[in-house]
Amino acid sequence: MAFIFETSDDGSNGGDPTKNPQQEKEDNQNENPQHVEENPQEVDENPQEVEENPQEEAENLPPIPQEIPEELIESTVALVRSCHYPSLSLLSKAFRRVISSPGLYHSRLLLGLTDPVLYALIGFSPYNTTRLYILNRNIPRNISLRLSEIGSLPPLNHGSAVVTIGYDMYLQGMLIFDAYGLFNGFLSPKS
Amino acid sequence: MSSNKIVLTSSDGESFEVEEVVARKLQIVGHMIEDDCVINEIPLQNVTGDILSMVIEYCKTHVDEEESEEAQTKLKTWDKEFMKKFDLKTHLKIILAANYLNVKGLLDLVSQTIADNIKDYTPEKIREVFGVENDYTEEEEAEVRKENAWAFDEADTPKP
Repeated sequence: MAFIFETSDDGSNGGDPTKNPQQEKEDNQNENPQHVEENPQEVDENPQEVEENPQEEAENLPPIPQEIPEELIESTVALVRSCHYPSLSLLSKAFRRVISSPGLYHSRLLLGLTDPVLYALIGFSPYNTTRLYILNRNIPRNISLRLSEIGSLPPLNHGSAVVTIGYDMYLQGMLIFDAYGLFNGFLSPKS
Repeated sequence: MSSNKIVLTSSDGESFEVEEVVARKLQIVGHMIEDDCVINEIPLQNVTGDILSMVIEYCKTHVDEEESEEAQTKLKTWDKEFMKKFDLKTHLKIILAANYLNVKGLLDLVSQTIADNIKDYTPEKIREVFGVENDYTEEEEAEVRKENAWAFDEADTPKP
């Protein structure tokens, strides 16, 4: 038995575009009061005074945050082809969070960016277990285009069904992985 | 078109006098104007003068966004050349500034530039650009690789 199905990023249901709660970092950016701000009139009248001690002034400036907030990681990663996601998810935990978040999926939907993903559910007889494969387009990839087994799943019974609903994919009632084939953990089977 | 001038002052005290119509491209300023809380000088605390000058250059160029196809093509060419002038570290600074100043067009442009080039960067370079550190322990990274072995495993390369 071979059962092939395909998904793309233009999923059917809207779902809940939950965002990662990363607002704290940004809040911190704005907490520093502007002690440094000079009286504007004084600056206009005595521009030389300001230039006299530029180094001292620079030391008193609040630091400008250099760490990129996760919402910006998301807006940038959303523009990258999803075949790069597995390697990008290893950059840091923040990247992993962004890539495994439904928010990224919904951002891509809004932008109309789609990458088709081909899955194949293959079993050879009613007595053998069935396994799920994905057409491996990931980069860096030194091997030719081929079906790779998604080994993190338990063996499936003959006649197993996989259903895609928007961002999530369900296997016999268990949430298993996201639209890019990356493992998302098991949920209790639903009745 | 208003010819009012507004002075934008960076965190390091550099001042730029621009037309109000240009300043409005920075939505953070646009909102201040709409809320009637604009004085003639606006301090912008999270952006330095060198980066603010780049943002202003972008806004000046995009101030009259004409609809015609020819004008749009011209702008796109300018955008491309504009981005080429900067290295990755500067791209990061511009993206942070564009986010803070709320200049959507510039934010989209820098995001797209980084996204287009990301495949050419090493992981170390990408971390540098995004200002992130590899905060995985060896065990955690191994776990992610194991869960998604199909995406990382090159071991089953067909034998010659």
